[in-house]
Amino acid sequence: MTAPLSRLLEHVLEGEPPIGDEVDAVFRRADRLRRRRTQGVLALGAVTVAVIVGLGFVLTSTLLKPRPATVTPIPTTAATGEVVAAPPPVAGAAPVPRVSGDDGVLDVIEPLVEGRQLRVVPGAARRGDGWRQYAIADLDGRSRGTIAVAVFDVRKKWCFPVAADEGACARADRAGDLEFVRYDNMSDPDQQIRQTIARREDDRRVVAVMAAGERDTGAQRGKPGLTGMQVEQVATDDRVFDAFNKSEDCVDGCPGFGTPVER
Amino acid sequence: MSGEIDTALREFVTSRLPQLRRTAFLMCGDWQMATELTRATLSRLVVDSRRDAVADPDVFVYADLMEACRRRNRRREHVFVASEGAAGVEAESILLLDALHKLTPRCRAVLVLRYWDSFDVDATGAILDLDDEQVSAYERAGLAALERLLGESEAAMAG
Repeated sequence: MTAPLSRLLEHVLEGEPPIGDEVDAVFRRADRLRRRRTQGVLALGAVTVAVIVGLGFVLTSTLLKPRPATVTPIPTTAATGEVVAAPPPVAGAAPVPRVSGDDGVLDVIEPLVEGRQLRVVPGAARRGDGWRQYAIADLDGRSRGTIAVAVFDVRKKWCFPVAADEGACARADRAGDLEFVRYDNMSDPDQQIRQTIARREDDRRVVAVMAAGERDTGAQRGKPGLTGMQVEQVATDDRVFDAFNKSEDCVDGCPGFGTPVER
Repeated sequence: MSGEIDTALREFVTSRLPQLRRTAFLMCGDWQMATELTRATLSRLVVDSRRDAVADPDVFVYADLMEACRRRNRRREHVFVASEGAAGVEAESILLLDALHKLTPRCRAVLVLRYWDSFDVDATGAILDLDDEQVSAYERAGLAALERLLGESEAAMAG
């Protein structure tokens, strides 16, 4: 069977079509195949890089999520990304006349104060080189403490102070190109203070905002005119930085802050 | 360097292409498909040889071709297809092709490699990834089945 099979198979191949340019077709196809493989490798590489970058981003944003550097455990806007919305004014409340028409700091503070059914006492604002201070009262005219805002020219290697340790530096939260630390002290009901210190990245100036409640009036009336988040909101508002001249520096008559800005 | 490789590859392709295409035809029974499978196999050889990934070109092309025929036969029931413009094919040849394609793919591959391409048992085993005993067993079974099928066909034609 074996020898006849070979011969039989030869007969089967009668009618074989000519080879033609089949050799060239093989090489053309090989070139196409090589290009496809190269493109496949490149695409796979691109996908791999994209996956690695994506995973890296997810992991770093998850693992390195900044913890609030505030003295009190109140969550910050930078950490949560939330926007603090001031409650609307109570209907029927009498409009409060503006104390100053060209005070950039007041432009930021006043809407927040009014949103808390309080008002900036007209004519009671004080100001000096690098600082502003406003008296706050409720709608019945009772004093609710003060809000002080000051700008300090600090040295290049300045760091955020720690109230309990003069030599230490506090870890700051970030909000855009600003870094800030909150220093709230609500432990004494007769001297309640909410304070934030903020610094721009490319600026040697530091802004401190402090809302101090009326002293010795009890826990309820002694609450500061702004919440901790609102104080932080003011301190990290670029308009507040821009409201001070570049040459201003809180030296003379500077209000006393709960946590002083050491230079 | 790459020019020398391309010249050697072109010589190899030119020398092997006709025989390889006939092998493919015996495996699939269709000249057009045989041409397509041969072209695909040789193009893969060219690409892989250029990056120095082929140890034995003959084993590479026959193994690749047999695997391609096996995959193609899974999807398509075999029908003998003559080439376009070809003269009439003898009835005996058609009977042999039909008998060949009634064998299992392994038996058919062993018989084609052994009796058409004249590979020895070792080479056939290397191409089909079988050991020598398996090659011999497929060969015996294939020959017996082919003999029986051809006998039946001849008897039917005589009757």
